[in-house]
Amino acid sequence: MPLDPPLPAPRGHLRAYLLAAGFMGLIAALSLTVRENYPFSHFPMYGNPNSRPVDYYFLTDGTGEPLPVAALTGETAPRIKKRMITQELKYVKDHHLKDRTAIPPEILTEIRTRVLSGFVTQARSRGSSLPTEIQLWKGLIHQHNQGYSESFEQEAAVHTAASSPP
Amino acid sequence: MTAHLRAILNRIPPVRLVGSTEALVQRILLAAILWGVFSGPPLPYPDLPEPVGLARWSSLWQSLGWDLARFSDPQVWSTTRTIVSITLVAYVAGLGLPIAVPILALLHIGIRTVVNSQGAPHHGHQILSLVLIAQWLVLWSCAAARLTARLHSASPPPWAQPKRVHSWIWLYSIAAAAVTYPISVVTKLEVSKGKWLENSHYVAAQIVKTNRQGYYNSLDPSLLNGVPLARAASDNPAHDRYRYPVPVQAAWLKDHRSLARTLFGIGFLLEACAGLAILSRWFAFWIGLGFVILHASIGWLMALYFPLNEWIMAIYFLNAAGWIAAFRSRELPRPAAITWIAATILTAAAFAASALPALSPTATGMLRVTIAPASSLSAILSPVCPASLEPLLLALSFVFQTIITTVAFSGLLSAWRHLATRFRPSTPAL
Repeated sequence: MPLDPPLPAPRGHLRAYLLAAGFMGLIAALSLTVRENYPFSHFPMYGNPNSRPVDYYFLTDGTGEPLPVAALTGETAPRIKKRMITQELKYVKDHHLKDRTAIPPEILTEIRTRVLSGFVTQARSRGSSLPTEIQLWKGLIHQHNQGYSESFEQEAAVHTAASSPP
Repeated sequence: MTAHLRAILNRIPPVRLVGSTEALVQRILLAAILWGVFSGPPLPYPDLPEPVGLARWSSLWQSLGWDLARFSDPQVWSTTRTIVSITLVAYVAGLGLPIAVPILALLHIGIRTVVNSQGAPHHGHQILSLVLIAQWLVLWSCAAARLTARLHSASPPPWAQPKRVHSWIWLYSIAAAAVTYPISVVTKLEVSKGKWLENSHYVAAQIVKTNRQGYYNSLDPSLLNGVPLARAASDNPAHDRYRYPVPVQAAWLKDHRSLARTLFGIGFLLEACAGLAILSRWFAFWIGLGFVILHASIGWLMALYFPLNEWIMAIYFLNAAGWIAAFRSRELPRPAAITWIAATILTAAAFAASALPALSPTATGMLRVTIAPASSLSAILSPVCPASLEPLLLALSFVFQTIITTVAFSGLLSAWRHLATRFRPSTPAL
């Protein structure tokens, strides 16, 4: 059986591409190792699509009327959830829990109230006009064969005169 | 097999020489992006509750007499902007690049580290920081090689010659931007336990979520158009006021699972193959065009925007100035006049149609995706373009889009001719 001839030595200019590929490999390895440490990230967004309900958060005044999160706080609505997840993961790590579902409900309420208070403080420092009470709501998007439905829960409430930094 | 591999390797062209005009255009556009980034008010974060990256080394910063949170101090911010302004002028002029680029890279990484240390990681700026780091590495490598050669009274190696520096900046900027996508692919496969493609149709529910989040950001009622929920009421009537319609595209993708998987699968494949963009001008062009369209589509479908990704693609991957330079120098065959005319007419039609008020939101959205490169250029230049120069900005965007369309048509025509030649039936000998 004839043997294949040996692989050709890469032409000189191919070394430039190999070096650039090595640079990409280095960035990829660093990003996947250190994860969320700016300027690196492992980009986890939309990484696990599944049939479970999808949650999002929004703010309302004391009567349940929606508030414009960006204009009020200078932050976007998705950051409410991101901040809560960061604090929940920290609690999981500090208390050696299995995952976020193991966090006791009273601690979850405490975390949510703390995150909401942080947004209120931020809104106040921007000089935004605040209602006397701000509520944090969770929306859940359910996926059925017929389409989508939604359910809602109030997660926390803060009296704006009494809120303090997180 | 070996012969095939040899043939493929031999077809990869040498890294192209980037001319000084092309490099100047790239620097102007990147400087405009950076100016836009630094033109806002001071950061609204007086502390770093969840430090990441450089912010984790707080003792180091304290020993240096610095605290990253000081970027929220109006006086520090004003000084930062002055430094950035001076450095950007030097950057655009190509003066002292080995000093200017590290300053810009460190300041950009610094401010974005503060933003990401608030417990809500944002993923829109990593691409710009990585491009600046890549340029920094290139400039210092070339400068070190030239300095070493000078110390030994020798001539610098060919790769470190000043005329090659622009080429390495171009190549490594593309490498740094492209690699962010395969990283995301690895994470998708890891988090979903390899089932991302199989379950990708569930991303449609995320379209509902991102539209809801978009609405609650600004209470913009235009984000509430669509089809009614499957269950429009519940046991708790007080909650019914939040039951808004669902975006049409989310409902449609939910009803067409296979098509949804195909569409999301195309995006997944593009992300996986992004690294190939370093291999040639054409690879960079098609991959960059794919990403500009992908991000514009995601913006339209999900109200989820990654403007810096689009803009970096427009500057380095689409690189209109590079194509014009290649056509002028005859490095590449010039497109036929009819190709230019067809591209100009189509671009003009897309511009005019996208501005028509009578079109449906779906038609307007699709048209805007087709002119996404023009929108990217316009958005890059708008922070440095006074309102009185709006018509000039529109003209530049139109020219940019026309060049991109012409290059795309030329590429498709060449591919068609190549295929036609390859598969033409051979004439039997008489």
